[in-house]
Amino acid sequence: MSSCHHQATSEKRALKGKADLIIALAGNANVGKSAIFNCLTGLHQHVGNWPGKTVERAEGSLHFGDYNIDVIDLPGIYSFSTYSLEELVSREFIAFEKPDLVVNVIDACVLERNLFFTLQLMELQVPIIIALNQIDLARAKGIRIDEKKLSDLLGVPVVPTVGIKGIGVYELVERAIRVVKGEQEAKPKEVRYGREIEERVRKLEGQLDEARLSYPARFVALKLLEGDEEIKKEVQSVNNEAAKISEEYAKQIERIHGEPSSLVIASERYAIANRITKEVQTTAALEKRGFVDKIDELSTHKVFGYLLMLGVMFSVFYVIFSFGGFLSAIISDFFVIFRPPTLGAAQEILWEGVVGGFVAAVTLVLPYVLPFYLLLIILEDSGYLPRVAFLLDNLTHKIGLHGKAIIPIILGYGCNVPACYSCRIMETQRDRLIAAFVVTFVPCTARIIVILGLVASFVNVEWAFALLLFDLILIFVLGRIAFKVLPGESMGMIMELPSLRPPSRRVVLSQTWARIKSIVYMVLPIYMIGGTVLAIMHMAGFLKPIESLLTPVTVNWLGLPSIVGVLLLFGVVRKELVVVMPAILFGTVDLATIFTQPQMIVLAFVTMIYVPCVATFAMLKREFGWKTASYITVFEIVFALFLGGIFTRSLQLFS
Amino acid sequence: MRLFSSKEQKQARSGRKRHRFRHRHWQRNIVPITELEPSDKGIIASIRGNSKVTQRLADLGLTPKASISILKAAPFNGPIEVVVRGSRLAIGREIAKNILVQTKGN
Repeated sequence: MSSCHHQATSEKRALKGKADLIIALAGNANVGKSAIFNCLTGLHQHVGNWPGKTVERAEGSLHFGDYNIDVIDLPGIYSFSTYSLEELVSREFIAFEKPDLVVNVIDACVLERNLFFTLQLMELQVPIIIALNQIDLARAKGIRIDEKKLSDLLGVPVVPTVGIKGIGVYELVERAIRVVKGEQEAKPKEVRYGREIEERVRKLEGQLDEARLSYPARFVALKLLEGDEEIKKEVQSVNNEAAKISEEYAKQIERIHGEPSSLVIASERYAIANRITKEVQTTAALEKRGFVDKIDELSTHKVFGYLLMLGVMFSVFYVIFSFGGFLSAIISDFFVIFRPPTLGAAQEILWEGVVGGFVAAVTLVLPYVLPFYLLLIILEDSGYLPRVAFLLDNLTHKIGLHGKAIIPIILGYGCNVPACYSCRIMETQRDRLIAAFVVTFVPCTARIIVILGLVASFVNVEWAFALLLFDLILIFVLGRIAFKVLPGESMGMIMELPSLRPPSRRVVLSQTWARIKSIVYMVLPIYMIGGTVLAIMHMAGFLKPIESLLTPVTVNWLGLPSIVGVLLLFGVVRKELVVVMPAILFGTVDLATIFTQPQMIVLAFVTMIYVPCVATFAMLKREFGWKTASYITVFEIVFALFLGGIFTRSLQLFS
Repeated sequence: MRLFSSKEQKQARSGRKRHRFRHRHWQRNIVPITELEPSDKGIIASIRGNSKVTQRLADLGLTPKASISILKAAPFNGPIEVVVRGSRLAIGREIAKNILVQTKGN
């Protein structure tokens, strides 16, 4: 029963005009929220940023009955404290933008922890309905949940769903509409705490004037006792008295319980979640475990876990490079065959620039980036990546980061742009910066193409591997230095290990498409314009002055032919242009006629590290600002040229 | 069912370290979870550390009196895999050292 696309013939207007309804999806990470979001909105989604914040905002539209519904997928969070920007953004969205309804997606396999968040959502006093998701997985684990009872206890409707199969999603929307129309009650019950806390919450509530606050008074009172800085600031500006009293109350609670009051409240909230769970959930012991569970058990094992990880990584790279190389060759042959035999000057420019640029983009994106993302998202959706982070935590600690940093680093081998973006998974700004800095040294597909195209093809495979290995060492050394030099503190690893599950075809395809789309839109014009500009400059004889200007660096210091100056300039746009451009300029693909073997090694080396490409720079700027992005860029240029020159000299010495 | 029984491994490692620690804490049997072995269980007695870390742990269900069981420890001082309130978490060694539990029995 995959009914979710029936009514979802989303008309394109929903996002342009004003939507009739705004529904927000909220819940923990790894509960299948994005599967439900995908099911609701199909391909009509838009991924951007929350204004002024480096937090992803996913939005989509859905047409259901007479309603145009705008669906906002809030980031996956565990609480409404101010631990992370994600939590703050979600809380503010619900309180300030007042969506018509919040769909709280909860994982039936981990009910208790999910309810901890639900209870806080209820305290925000918005209309809620609960999607009790992954009930199939829960059943397979022997967990049964009485959803009617759960609904009665919480005072909100509960709809069982299996997001990845679309089961229950239609009913979810139907119920949502009924709640909005007022045909069904969705008024969350009040969450009651122990006497010591409840008394103080009520007294504080009495002090607060709800009309002057952006959150409900009870929520504010609780957060004050929890020592929430943001809320405290807000209260101080309207009622400094109440803020002071709350500090006193928090101290009293701490004295009574011997724990900070935020912990006392969290404990009590969990105690309530625990009580509800016990009432609605029955667990049967399971005699048999499935294949996936066995893999799951193996995946963090101290021997088999590493073997599995190596196997997975090896297969991913093997598939990408064997399949990619094969497909890439076919595509470029195809375009060579169709090259018109005689061309005038203008057509020459058009052909080399526009068509050549297009071919370069197609031969990169289709064979390398597409399979990379497909495989990566499969790994991501199956829940495998956190296991890699678990296994490699020790390794990444050498550069001062916990295991999660391995995820951007792995991503970096595909493309540095999304890799820098994914540094958001690190908790502190400092960790994000170190991770991003390290990522810019990870050889992306473009750089690997340069290494393969220059060194592996014309020198030998051993040298290509040596370069990659050297780069890996560089990553560790530089990461370690950055870790020592940068001020601030790092945070240790606290990470959920979601159950492994077979990836959902729908989620994998739509996420791959969403990410490929943005790269294609960015890369294609850059290639075509870059190619055309180069072709024009070549014909107009503009390249010579640039080359001679850069001669001191390229020829004297690096010992390379002067043409390299232009190549490196274009490499800033896209690094593989360094191997693509000679073909355009000299009309030959036999690079051995242009460079000697040591020159190829040096050129590949310099290209590998000399500068983040334009797109990576743009991403660094967006995430860390102009200054940091420029510092990183300048450092890498100087560093690469310095090492490149030394490299040239040592190669001369040994040959 | 465990795929790889850890009994032999457990005996092999039988831990001088563990004994030493047990001895120091024998009165109350309170140990950091880094001293426990896979499949050991305990009740969280207290959590030390800065408020951001303890808040995060509490949000994920690691509150005093919650029961916790150890699944695995990654080698070379890697993180520890635990189950708390039905969810599986990986906790870095330096944080895990500050999670003190009361072990059952013995």
